[in-house]
Amino acid sequence: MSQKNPPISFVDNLTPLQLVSLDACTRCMECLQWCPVLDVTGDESLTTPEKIRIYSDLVRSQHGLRAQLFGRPEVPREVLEKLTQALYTCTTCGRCGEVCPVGINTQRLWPALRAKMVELGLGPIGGQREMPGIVAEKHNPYGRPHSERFAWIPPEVHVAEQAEIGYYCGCSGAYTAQPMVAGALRILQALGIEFTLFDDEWCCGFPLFITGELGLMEEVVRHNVAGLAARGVKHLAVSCPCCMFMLQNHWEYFNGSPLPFDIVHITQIVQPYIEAGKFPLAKELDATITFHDACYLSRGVRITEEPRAVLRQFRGARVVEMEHSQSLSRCCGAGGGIRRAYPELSIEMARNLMREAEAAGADILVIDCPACYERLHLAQQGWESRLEILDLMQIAAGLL
Amino acid sequence: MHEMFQSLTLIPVSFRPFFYATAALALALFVLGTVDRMRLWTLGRDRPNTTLSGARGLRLVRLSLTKFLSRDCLLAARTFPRSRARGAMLMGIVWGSLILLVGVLFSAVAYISPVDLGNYPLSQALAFLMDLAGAALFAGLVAALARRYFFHPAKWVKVPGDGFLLVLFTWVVLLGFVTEGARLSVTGLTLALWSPVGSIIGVVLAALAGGPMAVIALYPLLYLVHAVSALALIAYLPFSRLFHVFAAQVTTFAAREELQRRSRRIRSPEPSAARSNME
Repeated sequence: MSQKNPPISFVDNLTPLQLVSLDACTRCMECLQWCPVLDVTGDESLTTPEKIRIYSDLVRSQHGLRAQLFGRPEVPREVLEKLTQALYTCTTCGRCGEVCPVGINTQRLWPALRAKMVELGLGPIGGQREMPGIVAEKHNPYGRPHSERFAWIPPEVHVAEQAEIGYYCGCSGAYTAQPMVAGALRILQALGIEFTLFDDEWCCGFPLFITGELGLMEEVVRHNVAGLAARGVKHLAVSCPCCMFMLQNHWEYFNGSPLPFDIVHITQIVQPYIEAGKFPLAKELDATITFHDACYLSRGVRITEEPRAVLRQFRGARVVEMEHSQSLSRCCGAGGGIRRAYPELSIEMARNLMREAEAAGADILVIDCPACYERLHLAQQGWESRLEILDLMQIAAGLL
Repeated sequence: MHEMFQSLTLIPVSFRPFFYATAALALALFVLGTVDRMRLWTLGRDRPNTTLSGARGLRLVRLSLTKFLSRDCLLAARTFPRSRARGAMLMGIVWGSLILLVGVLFSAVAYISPVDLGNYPLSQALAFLMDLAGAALFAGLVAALARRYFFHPAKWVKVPGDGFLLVLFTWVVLLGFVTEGARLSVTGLTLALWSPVGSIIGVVLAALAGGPMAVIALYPLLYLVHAVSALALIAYLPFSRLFHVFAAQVTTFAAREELQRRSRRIRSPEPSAARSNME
C-alpha cells in the first residue's frame, strides 16, 4: 500500500452520486436499528455508518487537496482489511438505505465498494472466492451441471421455440427452488400465455456483481441477451428478485446497448388477469398465510403490491402481515453472498425472519424469491418450527 | 439597523483587525474545503441508466445549494415517519440555522451598505424572527446532545469528533444568546420586546454580573468569543460530518427521483400476448 506503488483510485468505481452519498451520512444511527446482520452479530463496527466513514476518509485522504499538494499518505492495510470485513458481513438487503433520513442508496453502494476491494485483492471472502471459476465453467454459481438446469420442467408444460414472452428462471430457481419456477410455468400455461425459454440460459451475473467480481459480467450478460433475443422475446418474465434487479438495472450497462426486451416480474405478468377476474384458481386454501417481501423485490425493484394481489386470490386463506413488511421487510440472510462467507450468520437471520412470521400467527410463510426459499428451508433443518415455507406461484399452481 | 443586532461598533478598534483577519481565514478555509470536497464528487464515473446519471459538477453543486428548500429538508420528510421527536429536532435545527443565516447575511449587508436597507419595523421583525430561530436552533441542538449523550438508542457507534462538532455548534448558539442578552440588558426594554428569549437571558446575565455596567464591560469579550467560535464552526464545516448539510440535499433529491423512476418502470406496457389472451 505504499505510495511508491501505483496510486490506488478510490473514486473510479463510484458514480458522482455515490461519491456525494459518502458525504451525506449524518451518522444518526437510524440504520443500525434496522440492520438484520447487527441483530445477530452485535458488532456495530461492521455497520453502514462505519463502512461509509472509512471509505469517505479514504477518498479524501487519497484524492483531496492535501493529497494533491503533498502526496498521498499510505493506506494502512488494517484499515482496508477492516473495511473489507465490514463490506462483506452484509446481505446488501438495503434496509439501511430504506430508513436513511438522507436517502443513501446503500443497495447500490455496497457492490461498488466491494468491487474496489476485489480490485485490491482483498475481496471477495470465504466461499465467494470460488464463484467466478464455477460460473465460468458451469454457468451457475452452484456448480451443478447445465443438463439439470431445466430438468424440473413439468411434462405437461409447453415451451415454445419462439415467443414474445420469455421466462428467465435463474440459477437459484433452477437448482434450489424448483417448485417455485415450476409453479410459475404452470401458471403461465394455465393463463394461456405462450412463452419461451433460452435453453442455454446462464447465470444472470448477480452473485458475481454483488460480491464485486465484475470480470465475467459482460460475457454472461451478452450471452443471455443474444439467446433471448434470438427467440423473439419482447417481454422477459422473471421470478427471482435478484435476477430481476440485475436485469432491470445492470444488464443494459454490461450489454453495452439497450436490451431488446423489457423486464417484468412474474406477478406483474399475472396482474391483468387478476384485474379481469380471470385468474383461474379453483381450490381453496385453509390456512393463515403471511408474505415475506424479498429484499431485492421490495427495496430493489419496488414490487410489493403485485404479490399481495396474487395472495388475495387464495380463497379461504387468512392473510396476515408480519411486524416488518413491504419496504421494511426483514432479510432472510441469503443475500449479498453472505451465505457462502458466513453460513451460520445467514441461518440465524433466516430464523429471525421465521420467528417474526410465527409471531404474526402464520401457518405458511409465503415467499417469492428462490434464495429465500433455499435459505429458509435450510434454516428449518434442526430447528422446531410449525411454519410451512412455500412459494407464491407454487401455492397458486397447487390451487389450479 | 445595527442597533438591533450585535454590532462591531461596540468592539474596541484595536480588536477589529484581528476580527477581520480571523473572519477572512475562516471563510477562506470554508470555501477551500467546500470546493475541494465538491470537486471529489465530480471524480466519479458516470453510469447510464442510474439516478442522476449525467449530473456532474455544476448540477450537483446546484442541487446541494437549492434543495435546502425541499420538503425533505424543511419538513424533515424522511425523518418524521421514523420518529416525531427526531423530526422536530431536525426541523428546529434546519429552520433555526436557515433563518439565522439569512438574518446574519442581511444585517451584514445592511452594515456595509451605504444605503439604509432596513427601516425600523423591518428590523423589529427580523430581530423577532432571529430570536425565535435561535431558540428553535438551540432547542434542536440540546435535543441532539441529549440524544447523543443520554438517550441514544442501544445500537450506536461512537465517532471521535462528532460530539465535538455538536458541542461547538451548541456553544456558538448559546454564546449568541448570551451576547444578545448582554446587549439588550444595556440597550433597554423597548428593543427587548422584539427579542424575548435574548431579553430573558439579558435580565439573568445582568443580575449575575451585578448590573448593566458590568455587562457592558463583558460585552466585547462575549462578542469576540462568540464570533471566533462561530467562525471556527464555519471553517470546520467542510472538514467535518456537518458537510452533510450540502450532500444530503443531493441524496434526498436522488432518492425521490429513484422512486419516481421505479414507479414509471413498473407501469411499463403489459405484454401484448397477455392482453390478447384476455380478450
